[in-house]
Amino acid sequence: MKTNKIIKLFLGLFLFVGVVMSCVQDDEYDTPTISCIEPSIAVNATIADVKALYSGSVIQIKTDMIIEGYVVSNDEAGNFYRTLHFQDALENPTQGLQLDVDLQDMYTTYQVGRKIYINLNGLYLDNYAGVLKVGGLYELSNGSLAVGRLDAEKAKTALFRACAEPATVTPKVVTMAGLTDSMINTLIKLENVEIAPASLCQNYALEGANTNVYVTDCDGKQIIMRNSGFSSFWDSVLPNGNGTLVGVLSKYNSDYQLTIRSTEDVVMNDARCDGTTFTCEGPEANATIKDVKDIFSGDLIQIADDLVFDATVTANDESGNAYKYIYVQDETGGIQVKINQKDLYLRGYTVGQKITVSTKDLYLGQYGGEIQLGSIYNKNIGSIEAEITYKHLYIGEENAPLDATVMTIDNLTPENVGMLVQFNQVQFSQEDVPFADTSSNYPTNRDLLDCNANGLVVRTSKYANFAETTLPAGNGSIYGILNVYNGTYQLLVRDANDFAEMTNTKCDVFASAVQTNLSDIRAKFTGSKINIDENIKITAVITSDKTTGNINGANAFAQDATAGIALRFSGDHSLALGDKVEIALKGVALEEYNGLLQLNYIPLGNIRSTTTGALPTPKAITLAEALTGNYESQLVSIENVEFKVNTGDYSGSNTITDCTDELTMYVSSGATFKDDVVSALKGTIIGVMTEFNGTAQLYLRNTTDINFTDAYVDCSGGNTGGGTGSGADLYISEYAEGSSNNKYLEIYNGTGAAVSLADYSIEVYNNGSLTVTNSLSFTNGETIAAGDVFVVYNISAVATIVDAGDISSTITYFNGDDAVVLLKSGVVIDAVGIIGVDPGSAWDVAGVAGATANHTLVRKSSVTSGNADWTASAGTNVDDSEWEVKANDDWTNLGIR
Amino acid sequence: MRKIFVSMLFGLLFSLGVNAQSLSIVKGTISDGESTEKLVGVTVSVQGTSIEQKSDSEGSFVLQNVPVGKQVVLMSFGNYKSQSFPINVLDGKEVDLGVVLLYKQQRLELDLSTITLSDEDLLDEEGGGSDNVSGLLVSSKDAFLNAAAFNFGQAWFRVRGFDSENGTVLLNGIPMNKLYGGRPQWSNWGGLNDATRNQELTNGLAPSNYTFGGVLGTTNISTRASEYRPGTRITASGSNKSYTGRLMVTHSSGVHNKFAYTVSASRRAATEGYNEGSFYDANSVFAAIEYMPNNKHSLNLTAIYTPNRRGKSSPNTQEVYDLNGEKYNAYWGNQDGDKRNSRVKEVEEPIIMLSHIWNPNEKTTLNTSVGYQFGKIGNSRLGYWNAPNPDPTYYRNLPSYYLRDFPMQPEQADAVATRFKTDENYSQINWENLYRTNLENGNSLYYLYEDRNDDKQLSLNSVLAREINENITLNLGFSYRDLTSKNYANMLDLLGGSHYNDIDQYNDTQNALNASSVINKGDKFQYNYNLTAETYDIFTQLQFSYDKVDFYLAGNASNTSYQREGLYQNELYLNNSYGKGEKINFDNGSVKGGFTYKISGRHLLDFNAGYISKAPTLRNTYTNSRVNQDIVLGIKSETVKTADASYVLRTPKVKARLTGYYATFDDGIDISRYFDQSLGEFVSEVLTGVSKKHFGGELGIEYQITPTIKAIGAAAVGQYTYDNNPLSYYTSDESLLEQAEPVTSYLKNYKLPGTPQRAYSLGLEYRDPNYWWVGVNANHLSNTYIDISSGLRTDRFYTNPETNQPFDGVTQQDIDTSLKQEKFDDYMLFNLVGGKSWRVKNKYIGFFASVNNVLGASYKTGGFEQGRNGNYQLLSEDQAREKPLFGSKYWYGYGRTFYLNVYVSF
Repeated sequence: MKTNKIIKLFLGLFLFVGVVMSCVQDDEYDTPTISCIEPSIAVNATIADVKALYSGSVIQIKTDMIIEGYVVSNDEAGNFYRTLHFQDALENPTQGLQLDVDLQDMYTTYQVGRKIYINLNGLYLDNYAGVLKVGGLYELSNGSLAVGRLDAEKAKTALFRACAEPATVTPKVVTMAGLTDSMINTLIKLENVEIAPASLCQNYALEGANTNVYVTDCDGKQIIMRNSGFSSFWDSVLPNGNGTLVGVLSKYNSDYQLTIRSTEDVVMNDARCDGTTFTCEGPEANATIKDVKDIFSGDLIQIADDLVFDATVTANDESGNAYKYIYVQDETGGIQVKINQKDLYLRGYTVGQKITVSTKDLYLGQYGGEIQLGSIYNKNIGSIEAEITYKHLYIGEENAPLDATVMTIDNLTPENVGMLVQFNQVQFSQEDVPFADTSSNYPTNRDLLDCNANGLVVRTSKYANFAETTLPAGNGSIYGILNVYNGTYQLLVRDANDFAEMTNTKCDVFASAVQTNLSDIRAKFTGSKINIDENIKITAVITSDKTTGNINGANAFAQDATAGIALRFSGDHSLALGDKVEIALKGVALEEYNGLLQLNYIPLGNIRSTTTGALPTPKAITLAEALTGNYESQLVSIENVEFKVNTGDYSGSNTITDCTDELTMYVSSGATFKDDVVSALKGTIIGVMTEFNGTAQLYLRNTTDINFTDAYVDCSGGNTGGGTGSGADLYISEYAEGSSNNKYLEIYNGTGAAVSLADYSIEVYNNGSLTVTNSLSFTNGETIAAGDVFVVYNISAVATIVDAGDISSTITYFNGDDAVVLLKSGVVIDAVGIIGVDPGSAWDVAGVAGATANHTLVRKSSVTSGNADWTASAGTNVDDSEWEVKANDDWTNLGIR
Repeated sequence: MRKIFVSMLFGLLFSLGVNAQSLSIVKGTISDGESTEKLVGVTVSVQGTSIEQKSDSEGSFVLQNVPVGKQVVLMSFGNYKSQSFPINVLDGKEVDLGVVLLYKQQRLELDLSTITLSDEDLLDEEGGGSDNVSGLLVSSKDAFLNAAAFNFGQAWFRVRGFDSENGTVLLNGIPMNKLYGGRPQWSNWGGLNDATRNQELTNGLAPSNYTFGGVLGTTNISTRASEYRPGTRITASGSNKSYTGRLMVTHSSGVHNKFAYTVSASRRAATEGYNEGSFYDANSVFAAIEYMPNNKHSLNLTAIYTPNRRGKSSPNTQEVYDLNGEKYNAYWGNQDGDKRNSRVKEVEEPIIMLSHIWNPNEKTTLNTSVGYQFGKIGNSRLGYWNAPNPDPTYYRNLPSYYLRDFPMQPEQADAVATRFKTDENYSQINWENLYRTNLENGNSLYYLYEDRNDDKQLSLNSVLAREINENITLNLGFSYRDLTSKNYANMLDLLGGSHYNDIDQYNDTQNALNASSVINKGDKFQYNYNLTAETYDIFTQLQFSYDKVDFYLAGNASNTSYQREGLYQNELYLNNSYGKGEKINFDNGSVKGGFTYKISGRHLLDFNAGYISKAPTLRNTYTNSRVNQDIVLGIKSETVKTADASYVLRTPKVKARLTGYYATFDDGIDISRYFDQSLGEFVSEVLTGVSKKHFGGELGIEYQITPTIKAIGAAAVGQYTYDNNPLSYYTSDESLLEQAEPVTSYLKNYKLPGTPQRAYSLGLEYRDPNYWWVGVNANHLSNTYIDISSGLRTDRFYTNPETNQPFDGVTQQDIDTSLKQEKFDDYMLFNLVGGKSWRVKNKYIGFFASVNNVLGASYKTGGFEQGRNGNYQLLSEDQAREKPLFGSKYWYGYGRTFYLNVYVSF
């Protein structure tokens, strides 16, 4: 009873659970039967039909055009990538075609010899560099359209395979000479061919890069075998012998290319065309790098002996700082080997690689004093040609990179050049600048210093991958290859790791520099360049102004209490006029440049401090003193000078003269004021004395340094006054009869001395009147300074006139037919117009009709005295007139002579 | 039949009251409410006093010197529901409570299987955040822990944010945490809910009598045959979670002639669980026999065998979920009308254990166990060689790829989306195509293999507990474990191919120079190595108990040594793969202490603090153990410093605990191993010197509104973050990536993934005196974060690989925006539970039912960033896409699920 109930209950529960549990998947599965259903599509076109559709640009096929073909490509080894190549027959095909499709590992489905069908409806057709292909549509970066990969989804409705097992495809045997475009995308076989010398002993491809390998036949013809750097065989070594090559033919513009499916397509084991056999193993070493270098005696030389040395690669072109050369080193030294190939680091020349160099027939030469190994080019040392590299350089076993030799900057010898060196506790003099200035095509030099301020140049190409890296801001170890260029040691940094340890706090290399004055510095120079070895410094004030562009951005003049000097920095400085700077000089050259003594090539890092200073008072000297050269690089002021030609602009050389001596002032084409017209007056000029090849010159900072207010003196003659002025007496220098009340009269004092106007007066005779209509006398002690003008103006004139005027007067109510005269002690000494004559409306001047009305008359600068004879003064043409007739209301000369 | 139930406590209480004779004595006898057997060892105490006693062998107790006035007598015992009796003690009168019936916790019928414990099987190496279940999610009397287990568990909640490796799980005192990964392998005793019912839990640092334990706590499962309730129990369950049905039978003999035995067996199965294609097939058998020659000795022999297999489900990108829904699983495909899953986890690790319990006197217990576990764990996976990736969610198969690579044909992305949604040959593994490819090719380009661990572990454990005096208890323990683990790839199925060529695809090198590269079914290949591990651990603890204060001090010292032995010589690692590697040793010491201050019986303060030093796990010791002997650079033991403080309130109506905790983990190692789709190989991303900080608070509160209605609230508010910028480096099994110098990974203040950092629960429970009950609760979970890719948070990220300089024009703000850690949306989960039981003659029958996530809320439980967009340019480009190609992958929580359980016991 009881038991029955329990059993019933138990069964009930079990049933309940049993329903939901049923049986569960186990891990045994049989191989399913794979059924194949032949695609039910009917071929209605040939490959040739498709190709015929092409008419010069990419087109879309819009009908159900169905073709068939046999696969010839195989992407198993990765040499084909997302392209499927097929031809119209298993044997002796007439056409082939290429489908670009976004499928990988197609060999698992579309095996070589598999028959496929393609429905081209919706696909695109294009010609890429000579190869017709079909696929999807792709937009190039320039916006134009081309055939790209067909997407996998579309491929499901376009690409079908037949059920039949793949059959054998027999490659067509052809010669290089017999290649035709109709063979493109078919499988061909070349016989009696071999790898061209330039590729011998190298890999099928460079890692990660499509690589062209040249294959030649015995007639010297060649085609390209194009291998993918992503293929599984990229790092296999190409065969050395002669034999057969099978592949899918392609074309790139005019070059035929062959793509192999795997290295099984390359069978080249026979003797080469010339009967030789090659080995890629190097000969036995019998020499050292030193032995080879010792052959060099100053001139380019071809190595005649069979010298072979073993070495280790210490630098290559991986970072881009080196180009087409490597450095190798053994225990006796290092040397640059020049090879005319790019991407050497991908060709086996990795740092640490053991290498055997067979030097016979190579050349030794020098560049900037560094001995290099290579070939001959233009009678100089050049690169070893790619075609013969395999005979000279043999890559051996991989090895550990060499340790750098620890050296100090002040203890380098020519024997160290070419070696991998290490400098400890060094730092760059500059901060916040990159290794290379990428705007320059030349490598950039940066100064490396040890803690005693001994310097070395680090020279870096803009193509280095660390070129834009900022110089390390710290002190530490740096590694690189030691170079030399014309006596200066340089360091070639290989990559960013070489300076990664420069992270310690910098030492203050100039902390103990001794203060020296410029006079003493100048005294050191005895005629030839010296390098300052002592750790000294100067403190001086900058007297040049780079902002006006009249001085190179890297140059400056500086002056202390004892002397001045020219400074040339290693790069653009940021020193401003009046800055007081402290500059360390250790390692800096003191030399003349075109006769000007300068501290040359001062690393910017040597600028120790910059504060605002006080400009020195310009030393007042005469022009004659200026020419002595005694004031070189000092700020001077020279009085009573003028421009010899006072009408041109500043640009280029101008001569400053006091009518006795002459001094050249040269203004750079970069100066902001170069197009300004020079002053036509005379006076005091301020500038820095400089020198060019033995001739003193003046450096002008800007035009405000020219303080000319005196009248110009014609040094060529006519100076009768005995003074320095021009003209013995006052005269009318300007007469303006403009619109409305814009009228004035300007009197000039060219006497060279101040003149009181007490004896002078101005009278006006209106409309032919013989009696004075109006007059002006000077009763308030008015004077005219030497060289100055005095302007009598109309009270109702525009502000320009009023502002420039000295006194207002009603005599200015002349209107062109009135005679205006200047009198001294009652005697007319200058006139505009003729008293008692009415010209109608106005007089003619310089051939200009009615010029005394609605014109401004300006006395020619050649005129130096008044003229009471108006007829003579007015003249009849431009040449004989004393006046220049200016347009109505032209007041440009108002207030100035 | 109801009469039986009438003998309930309330009746007893007041009727048996107060006619006492001698001074202030309270006495009574305690029996099991169902079986009426006398209960021995029940703790009886008077609230607010130090009076405490345990019931004797007759179930009786006599409390002396009980103060006069209103008192509350408390009775608590194991898994029984605690009782409290308010009484009025009169001077000189004896209070006899008579026969008190204690009832088993009804909540125990809330079967552990209602927690999605089976998903912790996802504890695979590959998953970024799937190690989802805390070790201590077991039923407990603590309101907070209960909520964490039953309500937050489905959201992968971790108590205090701690990984389960911080919880120690013991079987009869023997640690069951795997030496390999530190976590317990739950499936080793899965399905044996009846047999593993006797659990003793300590939370956090609180002292356990068995071991020092981790910072999360300790659970000891006892399988003494005599401790099971005699009788037979049959349970049947149905669900739509990981399994659909379960049947479990357990019989326990009780003690007869010095012998007792318990046997249990269960089967859990599903042809398809909640996620598509995730089958479940688990059988479990348990037997324990105990021999007690006298009352001082007991010998218990336990055997557990739980072979189980399950099909796993994939994490997916949002793009994939948007296409095919949250139940989508990329791991299966149709074959012969079955949904064949390619990722099957199989665990078969029997345990045999012999325990000896010796009580030389009343105050001393010596518990010694010897265990031996052996068997295998296999995780299967599809392999492929130089053939298209068979993963249907491979990025080139998804619309996002078409949008990126075929912008001229935008309609194709839609076409692919439609295909993905409608064509199972496309959206699932196309087994037929794999077979076809292999058949046409000859050898296998596709193959199914498993990563195998065949472990043999011998464990020895001895624990002494001695009451030195009534205030002081001493615990001493010794533990030894010796593991030999064989690890290899095992060829399961060549999928129609003749054989497989075991060659490294990328380097064209031999994985095993000293073994054949022609692989047939059942052959080992790819990698093959042994790991051995040995640990010694001693533990000592003193517990003090006084009127006002309890306190304890504990310490342990351990020695751990690991060694790898390569059985294959890998051509890539000629000198570093074969033979025995360096033996690496760790010495560790830990201390902890704490005290409980009893302000009164109703108010307690509790403080704990500890310093724990842990040897790295085997998993975190070797970077690429499959191929070489490399040990993690700069390997160190992890240290944990933690402290917590609690306030505990116990009134008749309100029980509450409020805890604040703080923990820092230093010198941690995190190795993320994942299969990089782009490289087609396993990559290890190694983080060393990781510091993590966990702090927060927990609140659990129960309020007995009426005798039948109870409100339960729980809240966890935490902040779990990386606390430093550790070093990181990559390695690869196939050395495609050169092992780079470690670089700083800027992780500080990023949030730790894998758990909601905030969780709130509010529930109501009605318990009818007629033995039925219902409950409803609402839970709000938030602040769950994605597992960030540490490799992206390095200087490499913003460095343009072409120039080695930072990308032009990229600002810190751009970088920050790009690397912002994803925070998942908040969500609410509503659960309904209920049950009823009857007694029919001598049989008890009952059912229990629950509906989780009643509203079917959609929520992410975890996810991880894909590291494939390795720099700012790639990542920002991908993020800017409408559909990113390499977006983060997520796990979604289950939608509405049910669980129904019916049982009968007699």
